[in-house]
Parts: sequence; C-alpha cells; structure tokens
Amino acid sequence: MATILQYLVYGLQLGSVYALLALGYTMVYGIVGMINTAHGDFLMIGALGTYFIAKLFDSMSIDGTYPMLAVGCIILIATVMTGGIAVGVEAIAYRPLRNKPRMIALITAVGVSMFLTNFPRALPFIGPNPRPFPTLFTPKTFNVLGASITSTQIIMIVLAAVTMLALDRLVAKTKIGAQMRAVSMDKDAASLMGINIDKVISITFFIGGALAAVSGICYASVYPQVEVYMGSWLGNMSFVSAVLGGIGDIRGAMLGGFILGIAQIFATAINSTFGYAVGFIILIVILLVKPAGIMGKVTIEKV
Amino acid sequence: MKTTNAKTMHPLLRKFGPLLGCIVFYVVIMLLRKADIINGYYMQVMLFAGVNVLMTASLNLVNGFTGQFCIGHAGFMSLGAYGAAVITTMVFKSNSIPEAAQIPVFLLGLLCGGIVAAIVGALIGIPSLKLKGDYLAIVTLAFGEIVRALLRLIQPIGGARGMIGIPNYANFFWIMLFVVLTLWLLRNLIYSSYGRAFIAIRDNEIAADAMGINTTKYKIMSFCIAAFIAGVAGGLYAHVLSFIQPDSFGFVKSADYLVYLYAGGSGSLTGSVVGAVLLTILPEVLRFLATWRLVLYAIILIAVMLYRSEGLIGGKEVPFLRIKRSSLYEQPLFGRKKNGLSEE
Amino acid sequence: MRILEVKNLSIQFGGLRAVDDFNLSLGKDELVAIIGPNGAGKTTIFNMLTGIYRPTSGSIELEGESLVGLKPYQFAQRGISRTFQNIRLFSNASVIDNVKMAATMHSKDNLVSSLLRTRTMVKHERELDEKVMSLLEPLNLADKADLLAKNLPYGDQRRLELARALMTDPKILLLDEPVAGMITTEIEEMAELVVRIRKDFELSIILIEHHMNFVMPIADRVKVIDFGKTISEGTPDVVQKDPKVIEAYLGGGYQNANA
Ligand SMILES: Nc1ncnc2c1ncn2[C@@H]1O[C@H](COP(=O)(O)OP(=O)(O)OP(=O)(O)O)[C@@H](O)[C@H]1O
Ligand SMILES: [Mg+2]
Repeated sequence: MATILQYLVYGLQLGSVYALLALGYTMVYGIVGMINTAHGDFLMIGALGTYFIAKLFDSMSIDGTYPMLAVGCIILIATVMTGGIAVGVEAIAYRPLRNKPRMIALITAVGVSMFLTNFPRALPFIGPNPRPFPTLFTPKTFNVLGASITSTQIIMIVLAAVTMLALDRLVAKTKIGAQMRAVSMDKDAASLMGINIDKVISITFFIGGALAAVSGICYASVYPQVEVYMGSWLGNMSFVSAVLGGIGDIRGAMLGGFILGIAQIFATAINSTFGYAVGFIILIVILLVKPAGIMGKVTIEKV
Repeated sequence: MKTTNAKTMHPLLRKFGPLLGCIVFYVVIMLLRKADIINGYYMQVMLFAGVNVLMTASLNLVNGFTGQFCIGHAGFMSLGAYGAAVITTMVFKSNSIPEAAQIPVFLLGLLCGGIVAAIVGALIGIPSLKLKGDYLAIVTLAFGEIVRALLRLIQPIGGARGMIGIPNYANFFWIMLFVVLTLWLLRNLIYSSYGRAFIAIRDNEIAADAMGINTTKYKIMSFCIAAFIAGVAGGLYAHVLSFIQPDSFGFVKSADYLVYLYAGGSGSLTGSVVGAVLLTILPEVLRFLATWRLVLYAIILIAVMLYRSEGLIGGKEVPFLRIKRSSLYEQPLFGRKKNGLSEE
Repeated sequence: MRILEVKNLSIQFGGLRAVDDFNLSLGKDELVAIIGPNGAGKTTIFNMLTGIYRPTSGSIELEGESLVGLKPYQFAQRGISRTFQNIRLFSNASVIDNVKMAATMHSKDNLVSSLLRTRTMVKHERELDEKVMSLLEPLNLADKADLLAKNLPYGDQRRLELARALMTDPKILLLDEPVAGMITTEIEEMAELVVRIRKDFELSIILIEHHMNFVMPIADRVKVIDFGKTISEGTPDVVQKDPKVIEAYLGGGYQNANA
C-alpha cells in the first residue's frame, strides 16, 4: 500500500512535468495547427538557462541555497527568456510557413529542434556534459500513510494544476483568450474581424515557452541534472500526453500528462524499457477507441 | 489522336538509356574504387546514401503520393534489419555458410525482412488508417517507438546492445541493384491505376471515395509496399554496417527520412533521390566543423524549408522517372504490327 | 421500374435536423431537380445518397438493393456518381488523369502487371486514354488534357467534374449546382450539355440548382426543400405557382426565385 502510494506520488510528479509541457504543445497545436517538435527543447533551454542564471546569483547563496527573492528572480528571468526564445523561433522559422502544408512546418520544427540542441552543445562553455542542477528549494519531507512526499513535489503538482486552471480560464474568459479561440477556428475570418493574428500567435508561443521553462525547472528540481538532450524524450512523452488527452484541449493535456506520468512510473517499476514504451501503447489503445483522444471530439467534415 | 511528337525522346533511348547509364555509372565507380580514388570510407557513405534513397523513396509513396503522414518509418526499417540479420546470422550461422549459398541466403534474408515489415505495416495500418492526418502520424510515431522498445527487450537478438557480426554482404552492386530496381518499380506503380488512386486520395480523399476508389484499401496497400521497401532497405543497412542496435532506429532516424523527403521535394522520386543523396553526403562534407556540424546542417535545413518549401526538386521528375502520355502511343520496339493505334 | 427509391430519409447534426423525411422515387432516364433556399439541406441529401453521411433514419434502395451503411466508394461502384458544389478536383493531377482516376474501379490491371508495366498493361492504358479523350472532346477539354486541374478556369473545372463523374459509368448522376458562378452563355451551354448527356448515357439525373431558368426547362419534376422538409413537388409549372414555394424563397430573402 505504502509503495503504491509512493509510486503514485512519483507518477504525479512526473505527470506534472509532462502536463506543463503538454499544455504548450496543445496550445500551439490548437491555435496554429502545427506539431512543434522543438517544444521539448524549450524545456531544456529553461532548465539550462536556470542553471546559468543561478550561477550569476551565486554570490547570494548561502551553503548552496538561495534566498527566496533570488529564487524568484532566477525563475522569472529563465521563464521570460525561454518564452522570448519561443516567440523568436516562431517569428523566424514558423511564421513564413504558416500557409504552407503542415508537413513543411513539421520538418522546419525538426530543424529548429536540431539547432536548439546542437547550438548549446557546440558552445564551449556549455557542451554535451550533464551538469548538476542547483538546489532552488530545500525540500521538507512529509510522511503520509507510509509514503514520503516532499514540499517540492507538492509545489510541482499544485503548480501544474493551478497553471492548467488559470490557462483554461484565460482561454475561456479573457479577451486574448477569445482571440485565441477565434484564430484557432478560422484565421482568415479572425483577421477580417481585426484580430492581430501575429500577436495572438506570439503570445501563445510565449506562454508555451514559459510553461516549458517552468516544467524544465520542476523536472530538474527532482532529477537534478541538466544537459542539452533532456528536451527530446521529455518532449516526445508530453506530446504523447497532449494527444492522449485530445490535442488542442487544455484540460486534456493535463489529464494526459498525469495518466502518462503515473502509468510510466508503475511500468518502470516492472522494467525500465517497458516504462518508456507504455506511454505509446496507451496512446495507441486510446486512439483506437477514441480517435480524437480522451477529451477530443470527432467532427464530421462538412462536404 | 495525339501521337509522338518530334521533341520526345527516341523510344530506344528512353527504354535503354537509363539502364546503360546505370551500367556505366557502376563501372566508373568500380574503377575509381580500384584506383583507390574512392576510399573505403567514401564507399561506405555511398552505400548508406543508397539505403537512404530506398527509405526516402518508400516514405515518399506514403507521404508524398498518397498524402498520409507516416513519421515512424524507421520502425519498418528496424523490422527489416532484424528480420534479415536473424536469417543470415542466426538461422544460417553466417560464418558457416558456403560461398555459393551466401547470396541466396542474403536475398532470402532481405525478402523475409521486407515481408515482416509489410505484415506489421498491414497490422498497424488496418486499424489506424481510419485516423485522419495528424493522428495517423502520431500512431506511426508511437509504433516506431514501441518496436524499438520491444527489440530492446528481446534478449536472444541482443536486447539493447544489438546484434553484431552480421556478414557485410551488401556491397555496392547489391545496393545499386536494389535502388535502380525499386525506383523503376515505383515509377511504374505511380504511372498506373494504383498510382493514380494514391494521388487521388492525396489530392482529395472525399472526391476519391465518391469516384469509387476504395480509399482504405489503397492506403493500406501504399503503406504495405512502403513498409516492404523499408524492410529491404533495413536488411541492406544491417549487411552494410554488420551491426544493428534498436536505438539506431528511433524517432531521430525517422525524422532524418522526413527531412530527406521534404527537403528533396515530396511527390517526386527525383526529389527523394536528390534529398537522400545530398543530405547523406552533407554531414560528411561538414565533418571538418566538428561540433558545429549539426548546427550548420540544421541552419541549412531550415533555410531550405523557408526559401524553397516545395523542396529542392519541387515535384518535378527527370525524364527517366516519369512516363509521358505520348509514350503510350509509341510503336513497339521490335517487329510486331502496329498495336491498336490506327492513324486518324 | 423505378431505379432509385428513397424513403423517409432524415439526418440529425446535434440539435439540427438538416434533412427531415425526404422521399424520392426516381424513374429510369428521369431528371429530377431539387431546389430550395441556402442551407435547406439539399447538399446534405446528396451526401446521404452517396454514402458520405450516414442517415439517422430512412432507406435508400438502388434497383432493389439497400445501400444505407455502405461506404461512399461502394455507392459509386453500384452506380451513383456526383459532382460537388464546392469543386473537389484532384488539383495536382492533369485533366486526363483526373478522369482516369475515376476509372480506377474498372481497371483490369493487377499490382504485378502495374509494377512491371507489362505490354497488356500499356495497352489497357492506351485504351483508357482514348476513351477518356473521347469523353473530353465534347466537353471542350480535349486540348487541355495535359494541364493541371488546378490551373483550369472555373467553368472548365465544373465540366471536368462532370467528365470525371461520367467516367465511373453511373446509372444515376447527381449534379450539385453545376452552373454556380457561371455566366449566362455558359449556363445555356451547360443546359444543353446536361440534356445531351442524359440522352447519350441513358442516365437518371438529380440536379440541385438555384438558377430557375436553368432548371425549369430541363427538369421533369421538381422538389422544393426548406429547412430540411419537402414543401412542394411536381412539374416545374406546378411548383413555380405554389404559394408555399414563393413564400419560402421570399421569406428567405431569395430574389432569384422568379427570375
Ligand atoms: N457535417 C455537418 N455538421 C453539422 N451541420 C451540417 C453538416 N453538414 C451540413 N450541415 C448543416 O445542414 C444544413 C444544410 O446544409 P446543406 O449544405 O445541405 O445546405 P444546402 O441546401 O446545400 O445549401 P446551399 O444552397 O447553401 O448549398 C446547414 O445548416 C448546414 O450547416
Ligand atoms: Mg449545397
């Protein structure tokens, strides 16, 4: 029982990383209609960026821990920076291809991903080697029914849930949310209604990039190691989460992330390779039953 | 009715020109190899380029001509690679095969690899081809990753460590033979009722369906043929490198083929050849850049997609990979009375 | 004998009953027109008659065989072919290939002979080519056979859709607004063409059109649909005088009704 509970905690912890990353995937897909394979690399940039920004704040640290204010600054700078990079990537590489077949944008995204991984890798002061991630939060451990849960884990899980809710409200209730929905339905019509599509898409990418950075920080806080390749498999898994939940649907991305995180932890307990594959197996099974994901709706194409 | 006009190629040249060209090309390469102008390393790159042409052209059949999105093509390749390697290395214990039996065993291995890939292609194609566009893409991605995970788990074929000691039967002759043969067969297929059905599905699936084309059947067919070719290509790959490993066939490899396909230009066999060959060679040429190599490669790729998003070849075909309507009305080459076509 | 019997055909999209209780008994060689204001459900009827939408209830029988539940290609293979209101050509294929694509189901070549491009296969291709050219000739498309469909002018695209539909060898041809967006002379040509096709191919035709001066002279019978329901039917003369029809059109703000 205690072990199961413990696994559940780990599952939720991993799930919240997936969910935060999947939110970005899903928003970009919902609004621009492209699979941004480079999204996972935003996570890496966020985590790696945090590492270097924390280095700058080193003088403020006492015994390897930072004061709360410094931590806040570090995280803020890292997320804003990642969001900014995401916006830049969109403006340079994706925007000119917006009206081209979607496969073209996908290939470009593969190129962008390759660039984002290999550029830092080639830089002499970064390179391919993994680095230990600084301790931003000193975790307190609680004991619940025999399972131990740390304050970091609680923060992560709550953070993911709160972000999801906030994002859901943002899209449903605010003006920019309404514009996002309009762009996702029909770009031309939205443009005729006076919506600045470029701006809406930039904002979407900013939010997606910032969330990826947050999820990168979360991930690195519990698995304290950062390297340039970390984005690719995390990206794949959260992409699977987004599809599982019904890509384009914010709550679906969240649900998919947690399902996948929990399933993966339990499966890994059996065999680590199986743990990796289980997500894909669940994905295929779910798509065969619900072809548009758990929350997705199948629409009949108008002829 | 229209007959051959003066400008089209002489039928003799059209028929046998490519074959002659291939033979000349082969002889020249072999001579250069003898003279050691092409060293072993260049040769190996050429062999991989050939394998990549097979992979890209087969992917083109699904993505470029049938308009489906397969993004897990390396999965089929791995099935073929393991299938063929198991036959030559484990069933027939490669080092104890007598000289004379080596080639038949090798070909048998390739065939089995292709068949395994095609069967698995059908198994995943039948349920998932009813999914539309992006969802199909995602299932093929998932399929590729599951195959990789399964291969890692099967210990008798080396698990995650992979298989070693696969005989390197796939020399330049075989690779070239398979490339030429495949391109010829694919060209024929594309200019037949099958190819037209594929293209109809690509251009407008609803209209294709309404015109009596069994879209599911043709999609599965295109998928299986592509899987078969990818399987054979995988078998060749295994017998070039002598060593295979599940992790060499992950999403990164699939993404490579997508890149070759779209950078060369989808919907054109010429594009597949050009894309695969150029982009196989490019990283080798850039090797002097050391760690900056892939950075530059990525920039070139992005630039190609931005400034030439229809691909380098952009849907065009060289004459030998295309069949013109006028060639239907050519006189048969040897003897035979005029066949059907009466003047006016 | 009636070639097509449609009974109580209805379809529901969420809360919207787009077609409600549609009945049609189509005779051999008959030309029936379906008219009605925008959004009345006309195209939806065609979509059900070609298997693209599955009706919520009702039956479709072609020469006694029930077709409900079959796939669109099976409808086509049994002899119902159509054109589309919003043109759906195979835009990156040539004109002649567009038409040849519609002959896929009649192809005699198997996979092996196609892969090897055998002599017989080439012969079949040539025969098909000639058949297609003889179909393109009267439609004024013969000299454009090698152009890409997407590069054709609008009127040609509509005629190409017609050629393609004919190539499937249909028993019943469904034409969805074949003269939409055409100018007067083109409309007259199309009317002649439809009459001629009907005679030469011995087809039954169902026609959707808003242009009354196109429909009325050539239709044997007219059915009027409004909000999914059939509100009137009969010979063109009868329907044109029906107050309910005038009401539906004027109520819907449609000016062209008595043009
Ligand atoms: N796949 C679908 N999902 C939801 N509603 C649909 C679908 N297809 C059609 N409808 C609705 O059914 C109604 C009838 O549409 P239909 O296209 O049949 O009209 P129509 O009579 O052909 O009009 P028009 O003259 O404009 O072509 C419309 O309200 C349309 O929005
Ligand atoms: Mg309509």
